Amino acid sequence: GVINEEEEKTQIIRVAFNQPETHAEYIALADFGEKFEKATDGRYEVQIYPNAVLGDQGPVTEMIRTGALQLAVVPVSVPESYNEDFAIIAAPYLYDDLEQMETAAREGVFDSLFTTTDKFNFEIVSLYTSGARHIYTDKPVVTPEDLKGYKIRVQDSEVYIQMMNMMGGVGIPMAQSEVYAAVQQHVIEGGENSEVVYDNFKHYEVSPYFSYTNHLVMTDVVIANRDFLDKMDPETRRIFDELIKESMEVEFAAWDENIEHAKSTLEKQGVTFVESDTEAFRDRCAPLLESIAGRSDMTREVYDRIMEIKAREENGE
Amino acid sequence: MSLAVQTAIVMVVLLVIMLAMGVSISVSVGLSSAVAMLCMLPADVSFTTSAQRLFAGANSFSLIAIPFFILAGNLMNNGGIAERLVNVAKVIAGRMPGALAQTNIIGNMMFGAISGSGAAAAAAMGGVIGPMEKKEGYDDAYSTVVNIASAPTGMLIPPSNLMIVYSTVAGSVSVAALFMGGYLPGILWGAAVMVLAGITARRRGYVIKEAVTARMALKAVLDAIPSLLLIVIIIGGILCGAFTATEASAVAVAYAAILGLIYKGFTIRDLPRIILASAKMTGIITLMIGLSSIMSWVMAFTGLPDIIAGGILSMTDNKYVILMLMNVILLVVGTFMDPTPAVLIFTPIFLPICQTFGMHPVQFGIMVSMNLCIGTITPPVGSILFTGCKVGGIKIEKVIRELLPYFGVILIALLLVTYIPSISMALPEAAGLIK
Amino acid sequence: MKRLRNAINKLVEVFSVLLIAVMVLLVLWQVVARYMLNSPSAFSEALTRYLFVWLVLVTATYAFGSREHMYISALNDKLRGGVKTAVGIGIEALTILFAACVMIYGGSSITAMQMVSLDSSLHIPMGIVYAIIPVCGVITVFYCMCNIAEELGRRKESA
Ligand code: NA
Ligand code: NA
Repeated sequence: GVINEEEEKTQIIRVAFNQPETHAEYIALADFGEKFEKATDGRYEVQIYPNAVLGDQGPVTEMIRTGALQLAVVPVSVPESYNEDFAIIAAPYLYDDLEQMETAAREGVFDSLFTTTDKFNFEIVSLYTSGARHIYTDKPVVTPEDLKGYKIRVQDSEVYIQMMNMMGGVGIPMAQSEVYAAVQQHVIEGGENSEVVYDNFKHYEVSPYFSYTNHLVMTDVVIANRDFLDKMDPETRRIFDELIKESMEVEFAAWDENIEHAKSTLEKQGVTFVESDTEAFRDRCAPLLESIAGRSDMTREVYDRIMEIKAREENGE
Repeated sequence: MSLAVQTAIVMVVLLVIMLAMGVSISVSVGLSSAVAMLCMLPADVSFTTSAQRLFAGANSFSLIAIPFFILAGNLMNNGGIAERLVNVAKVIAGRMPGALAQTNIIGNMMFGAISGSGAAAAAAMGGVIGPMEKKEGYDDAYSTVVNIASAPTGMLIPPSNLMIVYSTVAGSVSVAALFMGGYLPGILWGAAVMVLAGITARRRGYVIKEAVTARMALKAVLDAIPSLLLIVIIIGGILCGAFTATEASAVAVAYAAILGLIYKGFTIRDLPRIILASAKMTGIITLMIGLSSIMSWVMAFTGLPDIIAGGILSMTDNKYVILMLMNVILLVVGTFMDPTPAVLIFTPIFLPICQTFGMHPVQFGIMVSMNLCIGTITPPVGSILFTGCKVGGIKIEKVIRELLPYFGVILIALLLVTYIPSISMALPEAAGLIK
Repeated sequence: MKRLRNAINKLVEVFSVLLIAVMVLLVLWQVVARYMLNSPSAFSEALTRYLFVWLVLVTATYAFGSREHMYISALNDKLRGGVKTAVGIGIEALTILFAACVMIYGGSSITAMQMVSLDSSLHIPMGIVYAIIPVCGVITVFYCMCNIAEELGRRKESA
């Protein structure tokens, strides 16, 4: 009867997510889900699968493309394997800090780049952040000389290995879950990440000095299956777009709270925070940033617009 | 009936039918999961996802240690290295009942502790000591079962990748504390198996008759020095961080090949034959791991684990009953799922429940790991069970009967770990890792 | 059919021996590169992993042909005569079904999809790596057909 029909009408939006429920991105997704369910009178139900139970981010993207899943949060390195221009969004020392990236996202600096994945059957519908990354090891890192001979774990990508080498250390790609034991066993001397990951993985137990190098701002994108989006009626689609864009602000705010929370835990754990000479590191990485910015007209445009934002900030606007 | 339950029923029924027919375990697991997926997704999406899970399940650098250790084990066997090592082990174990089996258990605790892979430990130790045990007149089933029952201990004794995975899902749990906490439960498990293996050995008369003279002992040790160096290089290399377990396994292959050639245990022309035998075993063992990741995916996708958790809390709020229920569920889950995905799925569901009655996340993590480690030696899907049987050259059914008493003592160890917090907590507390 | 089967067997054997040998050398190279040359090799880890996936599939396929995969034989061993033959053929048919649906159909669809995405360290389309799945699917189907033919042959002989 009526109830069955109602049930049939409910469409489940399955969301793959690789972090725990406490992560800012989860909070934003859950908030989006609640609002979207309400706005569509229960025609949609959002179901989030946290902790990467459905697979790592690369494979999850394939599931988005086939339509096994409808939504996922993935780092920009994922669309980068489809279009190399995406590297510019997460290029070393492109931004001075997290706020600059957030301004760029609000101003739609990446929008034209985002549309380039449509032909692979997934759309980028929003942008989240997992923060600025900094170096942690067994001593303060103020200048590039401090990193001499230091093996620091980086994400598995040539750009990041090169970045760490330019910063004065040796970049070692390794799975996140292996870092703790590797530092403990002196395979590597440290890692680089946000305060939140540094806290979650208990890396401060083996690397008690956290130096603010600000070398990267990590951006994640929310991707959606295209067929799923195309089947929505125009009004629903409008609501979807509006709410998923709004969730970006929710995420940015939740991330700030995550950072504050992590910092207070880390302080209690006796972590030493160090201000680094970011200018010295930035100068060393400049050729790398330039080579990424020069990849195409699209990357150049993104680069130029970020430089405009920087100039505006410096002029105090 | 909800779609999740329906899907799970389809999967389990198909799995049981195919296993009973005698379809290979790989195909039974892979096909039942792919078909169950059809309850929830269109056919093209289901089959594409299945193929992709198969790929992702095998696409792991740490799994590579398995074929390499199997190959190193084969080379050590053929090259006369294993024989020299076991001579030393015999000297050490002396006239203990089932001395070779005891050597196997200690070997598994050390080897698995370092490689972090119970299956690799079972392959290497079983491959080396198994043939020796045969020569000494041990029953095949006995030696295989002792190897299988003791292989998972290395996944509890640190370093343990499973614990690292757990700590990331659990949120605020110290990895160092988990590592320290794993020692006693792992040793408890190994000791339980040693006692039972000793009793059985005495009853069956697996006792070395001749006394070992000092002269024989000295000769055995001198003979084995280059072979012992292999263990020193592997274990020392990983412990001091010179290389990862997978890299160590490759070094072991190279070293064993060179030593075997020097000992004239085989010639270069024998190498392809030895490699091929190891390669075949790789396909058999690892395809199963790849295909079971389809099954794990289906389980996660249905959301069934959440339904189970809801069921538990609606039944009772008694701490002891809930812990017992969790043990039962985890043991059942472990029968067909790999430890890592099971930790990922069940930690977020069970941990909050346990924290309501004050269980420490470290103890909970060790309890969960221990449950799922038991799963690696149970049918229908158990990577260590299969590896051990394959290495021992013996059928699963024949092993199960002999394995039953070992399940008994291991379950007793599990109950102790579940209900006596200090087994898990004493060491991390003493080390000041838990305030 | 028998000659084709022997030829494929030989090819698979040589291929898997080569794969393991190359993998061992690559991992050893990784250690050497890190210590002697002080330059970590992101490329060798990725390549070894993919060769490993190939090894797993190729050797698993071989084991389908030689029926070396593990199975639970308790019930099957009790069967006799025509029923045993029928179940034996059923087993091969289910293996064919698995190979056809998951390996050939699912495998070629994921391969085609992945031709557009590049591996970050090898800079080759991931589809090339995935392509081993449908290839092994086809060989598995062929092996299972051979096994069915053998099973029927044995039945004729005993009749
Ligand atoms: Na271990
Ligand atoms: Na099992």
